[in-house]
Amino acid sequence: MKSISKSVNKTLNISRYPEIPPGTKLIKKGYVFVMLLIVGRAIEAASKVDQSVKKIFGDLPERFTFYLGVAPGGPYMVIGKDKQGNVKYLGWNLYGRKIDLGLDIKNLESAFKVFTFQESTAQAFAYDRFIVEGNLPQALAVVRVIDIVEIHLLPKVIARLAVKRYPKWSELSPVKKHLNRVRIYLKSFSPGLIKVIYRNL
Amino acid sequence: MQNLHYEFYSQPKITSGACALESIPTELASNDAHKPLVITGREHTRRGLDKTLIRAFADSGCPLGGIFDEIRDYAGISLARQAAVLFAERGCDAIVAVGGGPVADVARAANLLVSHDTQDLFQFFNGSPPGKRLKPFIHIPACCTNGSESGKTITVDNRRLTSNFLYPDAIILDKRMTAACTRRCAAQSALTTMDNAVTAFLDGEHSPMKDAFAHAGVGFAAASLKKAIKRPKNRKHSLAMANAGVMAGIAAANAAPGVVRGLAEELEKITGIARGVFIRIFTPAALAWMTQKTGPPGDDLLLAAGGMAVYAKTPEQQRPQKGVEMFLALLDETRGQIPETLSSLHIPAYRLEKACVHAGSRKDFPFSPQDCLEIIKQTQKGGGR
Repeated sequence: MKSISKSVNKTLNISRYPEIPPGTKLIKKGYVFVMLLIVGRAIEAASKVDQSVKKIFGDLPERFTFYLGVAPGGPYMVIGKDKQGNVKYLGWNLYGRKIDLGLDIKNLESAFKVFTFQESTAQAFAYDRFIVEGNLPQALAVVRVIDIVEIHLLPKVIARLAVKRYPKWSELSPVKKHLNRVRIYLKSFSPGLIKVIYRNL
Repeated sequence: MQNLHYEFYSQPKITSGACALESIPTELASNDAHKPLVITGREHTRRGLDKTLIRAFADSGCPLGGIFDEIRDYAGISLARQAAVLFAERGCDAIVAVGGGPVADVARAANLLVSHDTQDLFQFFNGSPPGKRLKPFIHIPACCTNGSESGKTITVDNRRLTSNFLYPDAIILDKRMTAACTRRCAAQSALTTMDNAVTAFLDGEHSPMKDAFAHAGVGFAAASLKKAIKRPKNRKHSLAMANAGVMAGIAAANAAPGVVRGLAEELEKITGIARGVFIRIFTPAALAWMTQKTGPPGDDLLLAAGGMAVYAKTPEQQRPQKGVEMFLALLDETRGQIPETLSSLHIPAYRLEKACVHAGSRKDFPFSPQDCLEIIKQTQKGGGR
């Protein structure tokens, strides 16, 4: 290649083709970060409030830790089960944690589509937007948890776009849903949130 | 009867749809590459496609080694060498080609040079085929295509090279990139797609995989060709046509070269007129000639071009003929964009004969110069119409 370089370099002005470092989409990244924070805290709250979420986490192994985030550089949300089986939102730092399951959305644009509810989580899985590192059944259990949390967090009009199938009245009564919604919101935005943010800074 | 003895090779992973461009860094990472060189055409950078690609790399951690945008409408060895030097100087480890035809050819030629660490590209054309896997190569079809980008053949300085190593590793179909610049460009790309598909359908060695790719290609084209030519910048239909192009291209890469393709390529070299024009002119006569010679194509052509309703309505004996008619009707959608008669191109007879001789002397071409001349004669008589 060096021999070509000598002859071609005379005709090729390499500085005309500069190296281009990747840019940053700060607003989209910030939005996804906030959404992951809210969903993370809501998962912690839902595990105490909603029976089906409690059961799904109950079936997962002890000290199970997973993350959901955007490849390659984040943002992330890390959630783990402690020895007593309590589910905790552990923040956005992956460093120094033993992760059992990693769910990476392939790129920020795909994550933005998922978190602006243009695509449901199940649809994004089907479109191959996720990279799963770990046990696939456990990953699908996490997706089910996210679906349930989104049903509780979001109004029906938006939640229908975000989940695979919105539950009927017979499956989830409106009274229970609204009661759980209030409890999840209260628990998510409790002073514990400030503690988690402080711990991750 | 099912054919269980066949060979079909297709290397590229095809990613189509929303956020397809943004998946390139992941595809590169899966090929252990992190710094691609982008090779594209002047026309594409003028249309701002390079900026779209740069935006797609945001937050990916992958820097672009540079955007080499010197390609116009001819793939030459000097361009491939320049791209190879830029690749080496910048320490790149993959190539991304944005555009069709010459862009993809130059990118793959540059990939041959950098992967084999050589300066002699013509050693590969002179009987010493590429002997190892090339650096990761990602192709993004944009604007006009000549139908060979998704396959295994490149043409550099009017010399052809075919090798399984030349397949792209990934093909990214994104609606932000596939819109055609003009109606004529859309029509020409559609014609090469249709020719590739019919070549695969008419190939003597049927294989279910090849038929499936050709079927999907014709199906996409049948649904979107008319609208894609009428509104070349329509993103949905241009993406459908790009899908058709890729599928038909892969099918054709696994079939023997068609008579129209060989003749059109040689005439393009000699006259400088785009091959799509010759495909439009020769296909009706060539289909009639092929039907006489090897029998009518199977029912699949009707199913692909006409859809299930037309297929079910047509009596079994009439399906092959109806399939050819439907296919020719699809070609007629390009009317007004592409010349329809050979006489309107004012090509001297000796040049036509020369093209036939050149096509017939190709090693991989299963037709003789007389066959090509016969098709030209039939075309001049208005055969197949």
